[in-house]
Amino acid sequence: MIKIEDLVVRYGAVVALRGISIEVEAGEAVSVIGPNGAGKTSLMRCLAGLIKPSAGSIMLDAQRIGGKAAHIVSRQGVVLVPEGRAILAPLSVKQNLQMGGYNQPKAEVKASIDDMIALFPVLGRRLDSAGGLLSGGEQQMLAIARGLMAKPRLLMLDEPSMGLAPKVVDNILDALRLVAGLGTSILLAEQNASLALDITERAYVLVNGEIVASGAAAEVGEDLLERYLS
Amino acid sequence: MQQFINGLSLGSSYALLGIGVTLVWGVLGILTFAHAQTMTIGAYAALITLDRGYPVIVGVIAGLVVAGLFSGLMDLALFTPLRRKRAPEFAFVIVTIGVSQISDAFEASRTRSQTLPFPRKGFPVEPLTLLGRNVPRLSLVMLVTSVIVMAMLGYWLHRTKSGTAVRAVAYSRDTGELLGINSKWIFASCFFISGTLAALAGIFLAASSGQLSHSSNDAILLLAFAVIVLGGMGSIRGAIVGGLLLGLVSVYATVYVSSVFREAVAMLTILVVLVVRPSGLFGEKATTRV
Ligand SMILES: Nc1ncnc2c1ncn2[C@@H]1O[C@H](COP(=O)(O)OP(=O)(O)OP(=O)(O)O)[C@@H](O)[C@H]1O
Ligand SMILES: [Mg+2]
Repeated sequence: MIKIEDLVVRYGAVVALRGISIEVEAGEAVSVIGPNGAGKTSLMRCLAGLIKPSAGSIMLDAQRIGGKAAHIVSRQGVVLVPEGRAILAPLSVKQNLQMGGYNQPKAEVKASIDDMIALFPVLGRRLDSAGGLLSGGEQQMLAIARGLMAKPRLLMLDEPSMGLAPKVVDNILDALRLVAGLGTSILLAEQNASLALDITERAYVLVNGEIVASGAAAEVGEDLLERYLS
Repeated sequence: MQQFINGLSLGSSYALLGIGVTLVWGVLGILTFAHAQTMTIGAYAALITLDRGYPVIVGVIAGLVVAGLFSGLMDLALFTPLRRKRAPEFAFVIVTIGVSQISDAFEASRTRSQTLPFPRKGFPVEPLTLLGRNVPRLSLVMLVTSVIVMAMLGYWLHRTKSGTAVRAVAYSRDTGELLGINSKWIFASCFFISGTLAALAGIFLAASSGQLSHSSNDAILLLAFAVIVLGGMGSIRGAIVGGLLLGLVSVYATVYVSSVFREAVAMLTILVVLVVRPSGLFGEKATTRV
């Protein structure tokens, strides 16, 4: 469904991605695992249209989306839940969700909000609170729910587990499994390898802007274990 | 009573200006030095329309539309490319100063630097007797119109989808874009609305003084900035209260001290408020500007 080829991302003289190729099929859950500074966020932001690729191509089915503005990419169904959640702090939880469904018909936005409350019941109890007043875990749930409001074909998540208690992470992983089960493709960027491998079928390992390993989650997991243990 | 209404009505035009500046500042984080010129252009457009014999309402609408377009097109033509290149905020400020100088020069040459009479025919200028006193009707109309406009603006920003999208982009342009909001149009529409607010204030002031020149509104720019500093940088509510307060102070200063000290007393008020409350009357965190 989405095919990334030889993608290069630069910030001036800094090269964040050195020609990487990644593919996600429809309905597939794929992870990109890498340490700090590997280039995960650069990849996600580039796919979402927030930064322009310096070289390479990003194809969504037969359409070239590399270099398009972020709001257009989002309308095509490629939606990013950004690193650090990016909750619209002064807006209420409900308004955050409504903005997630900005390009959806009004009636569907209403129905989707109910779906999101079913997925994350905490949000239902906080609908009128300002988004900035939620706890870190609640904000991550809101960020994911807000992303889902756009009815994405591909949901991209940049380190959703960052800074959260294990129990909250479990909660979020359950929700993501549910979402994946309903047929939404997922691209997950994570530092936490075991977590990522737990919910995705395939994985890429990104180090220093380069893919150093890829394959089925189980294989990549063994590969990583060997590396760290030997 | 009469001075009070006069003060509030002068204040409401300051507030309209302040809100206009706050709106684009809230979204962009820059000060638009072109605001006074936008105001003047709107007033000129109204003047030209009225001189042709059109009714007041047509003149006002022409002024609003022309100033709105001037402001919106300035954003699309100049600021959109700057934003795309992620230019530093200072670059925007310089551009607004440039635009203001150019349009000032243009207006000055077009009118040969003359002060033109602003046609007041059709404006509600005759006094109104209220509670046994004479109250200038135009001041009352100005006040009521401003209050309605401000209420509409508040409703739009907080209760409608497009207004909420403005607040989303104001908070974070990237996040707004990720949610599928075309930030370019959000910016342009904020500039458009800001321009119409400036024109409304400009037409009110021109109609109350009965005259207009290319430099009529130069001193007011400083006041508009003062209004938003007084209100608490970037808060719409603050701009309204700050504007009204400054209007009252200006009028009372003229009546009880001297018109020479009008601006000075206004500035003194601001100094006092800032010393007591450095963040302004409604000072909020810089992140919640709108
Ligand atoms: N705006 C920027 N300007 C310059 N260099 C940047 C910028 N953003 C990221 N980089 C550099 O690009 C490289 C990749 O950063 P990126 O944020 O994509 O990594 P990451 O894998 O997301 O790291 P983390 O796990 O810490 O979030 C790093 O070397 C970083 O210093
Ligand atoms: Mg990152």
